[in-house]
Amino acid sequence: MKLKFTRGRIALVFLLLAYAGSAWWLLTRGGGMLDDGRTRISIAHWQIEYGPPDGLAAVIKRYHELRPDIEVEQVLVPGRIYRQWLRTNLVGGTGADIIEYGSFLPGMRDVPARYFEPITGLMNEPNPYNRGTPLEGVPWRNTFHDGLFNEQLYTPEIGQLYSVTLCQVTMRLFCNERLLREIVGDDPSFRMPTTLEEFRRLAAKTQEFSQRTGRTVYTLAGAKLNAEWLLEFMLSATLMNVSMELDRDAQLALYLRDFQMAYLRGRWNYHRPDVQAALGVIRELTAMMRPGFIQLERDDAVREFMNGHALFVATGTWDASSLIRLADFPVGIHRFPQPDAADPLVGSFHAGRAADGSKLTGMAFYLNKQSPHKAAAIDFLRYLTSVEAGQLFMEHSGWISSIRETKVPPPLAPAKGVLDGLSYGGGYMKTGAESARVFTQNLYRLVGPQGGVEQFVETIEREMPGAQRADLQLEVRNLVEALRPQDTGLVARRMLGATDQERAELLVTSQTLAESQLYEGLVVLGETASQP
Amino acid sequence: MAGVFLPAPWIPGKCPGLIFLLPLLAVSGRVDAATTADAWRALADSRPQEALRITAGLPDSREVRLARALALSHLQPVTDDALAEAEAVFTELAAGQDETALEAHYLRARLHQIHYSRPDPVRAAELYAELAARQPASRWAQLALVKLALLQLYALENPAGPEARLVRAEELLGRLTEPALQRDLHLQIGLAGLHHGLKPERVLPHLVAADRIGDVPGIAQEDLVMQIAELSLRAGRLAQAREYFERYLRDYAVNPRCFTVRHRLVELEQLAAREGAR
Repeated sequence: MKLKFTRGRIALVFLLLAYAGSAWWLLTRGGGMLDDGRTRISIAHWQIEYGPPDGLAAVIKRYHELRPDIEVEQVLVPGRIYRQWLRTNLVGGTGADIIEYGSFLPGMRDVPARYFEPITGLMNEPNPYNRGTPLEGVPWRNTFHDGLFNEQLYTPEIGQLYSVTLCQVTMRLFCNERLLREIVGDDPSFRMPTTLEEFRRLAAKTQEFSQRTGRTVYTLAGAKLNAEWLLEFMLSATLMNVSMELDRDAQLALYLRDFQMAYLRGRWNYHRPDVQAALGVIRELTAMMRPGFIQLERDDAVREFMNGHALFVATGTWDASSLIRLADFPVGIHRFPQPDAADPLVGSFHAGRAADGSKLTGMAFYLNKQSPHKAAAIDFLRYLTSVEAGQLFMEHSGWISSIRETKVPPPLAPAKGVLDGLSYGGGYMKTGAESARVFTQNLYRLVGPQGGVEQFVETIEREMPGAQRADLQLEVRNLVEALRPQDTGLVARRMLGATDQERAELLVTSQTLAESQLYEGLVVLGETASQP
Repeated sequence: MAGVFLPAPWIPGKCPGLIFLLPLLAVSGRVDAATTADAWRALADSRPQEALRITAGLPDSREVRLARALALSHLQPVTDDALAEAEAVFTELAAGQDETALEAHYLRARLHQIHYSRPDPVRAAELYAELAARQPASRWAQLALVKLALLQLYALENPAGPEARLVRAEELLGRLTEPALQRDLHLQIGLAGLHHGLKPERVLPHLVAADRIGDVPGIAQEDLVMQIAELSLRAGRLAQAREYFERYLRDYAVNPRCFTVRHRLVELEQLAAREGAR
């Protein structure tokens, strides 16, 4: 039989050719390969403000010189859509190779164990990009200022490290130095307040200046978030004595769940005289902000500061580069003043100076388990966290590097973490979403001319038990969600034999430790079930 | 894995079927015959759908059935019906006499302890106890003892009261032969004692025992050193407190708690001086 080459048949042949060609291409070329044979990897994060994208771009540029065979793409994702973006892409298998993630992202507790790959073994090896530096030969994990403490604390599997960090974050007071000179004049005895009492005196001078000149000037720029940061620190600093008392587990630190459980068990509340005194400090500090600050956003506080209407803005060092670069006045960075034993309001409860910059590092990056180019991604992570890249990142972003042996530029030096205070942590304002809502929604009862400590405490003590309970219930649910898939992982790894044996053994201990936390929460929920 | 390519020319009209075969063969060349190990790897990597797909193509065996039931219990969204289906397979497998039987027995207990939407700690405890009695030296029976102890420490109504709970868990310690699991149980007893408000003297021996066995993973080791130091100070065991505080400063020099530790060491020395003066 003779086959006729009709137009339809020719078209079919071309169609099938195209199909075969596509199939061959897909099957023989892995994803992420460029035309010129280079490997392409991507790094995604939500730090799209002024600074970090520039810092990362500088690091990537230098990396391309060192590794021309690997192309790194920076993917900037706005914070407001980050969680949805992350979840959708991870589920769809289209996530970036390296991904920023934080244990504080709500509703994402299952993500690391499900989608990220631990890098524990690599963390015990030296980072090859540190050759020729003082960190040559040092295990990768020890090249970070905090030894990746936070990453160990919030790891989905105790004993496993999943991430590396890029920066060090502290909370500081940023000061309009020109305005400060106008307020304090040429007073040779003036020094920047270090105690709360000295800060009160500067605030009084600022108010007097404002009245005298007719200019609108507040001591502190006001916005909901900035106020929360400041108040949270002040509450923990002032209530160090309570934290010490609550440290039942003798860890010289309290996790949020400890505050939750202690509150529900009646070991602390807002009626305590020391807590009420601390709330009095909050009243004083918020009186230094413009009225209605609770309704304002972070940008409003920055604008207020930039326009010369506020002497200080309390914020994290992540804002340092934008404030310093954009202000038309010199910006000073100062540590928060703290109450001392002589303080007229809270001095009698004073237990010691609180740590206000703990050297803890953040902006954590994880390796996507589904990445087709894990080796390239790990190589870039190593470079990203080397001394050279840490320095580049810091210089171009204005964010302090997480890496030891990097040199902090002089303007940023006051923002560097200093270990000179007690660090028990804090959970007096919030231990979860519900307690945060109750505290913040009622804050107006505490602040302003109409507010007061007593009316705030009366209201909050009605609502807080339910809120703390809801937060603990969520914590328990999250723990259960994280624990369940571990059984499958444990059995599977044991079945895989020697290569996975070590991970399986670690998982056994990690799971048992997490279960004890789960049961502690369940016991407290059971004990306090009859509470209103 | 390289693709498979046909050496012969595929001329339309002579062998048009090859046009269809080419991509199919290429695909088949890329994927080696899947094995049970691939299914376990998929499960270890949290890919239960893939594990189900792989096991569907494997010849039936007890191990394959175990992997399939595990994948079923892991598949999102997890439902009680799916878990019950998995439990039925575990129950059937647990009736055997091999390693798979012990694993299935253990997993059945885990379903009741933590997976079902309404956990049943009593049923889980029964299953753990049965498993521990069945082949006491097996890895799964040993692990079952740790889980049973955890239920006794927190979840079961009987024993009641903190001291009784600790005593019951301590009885299980003697049945553990694996040092790592002994360590885990010592740690659990110590932590539960603290949670139940028992005195430092009561929990310290367990925490010290856990530390002596060693290799506590990650942050838990750091917390353990700190706890032994601080509880020893509270219990008046100053030499032990000093030893552990100093070890903490040496091993965890970058931790923000170091400042507090130095503060505590000063207090410790003042206390020691006062005691020496007495």
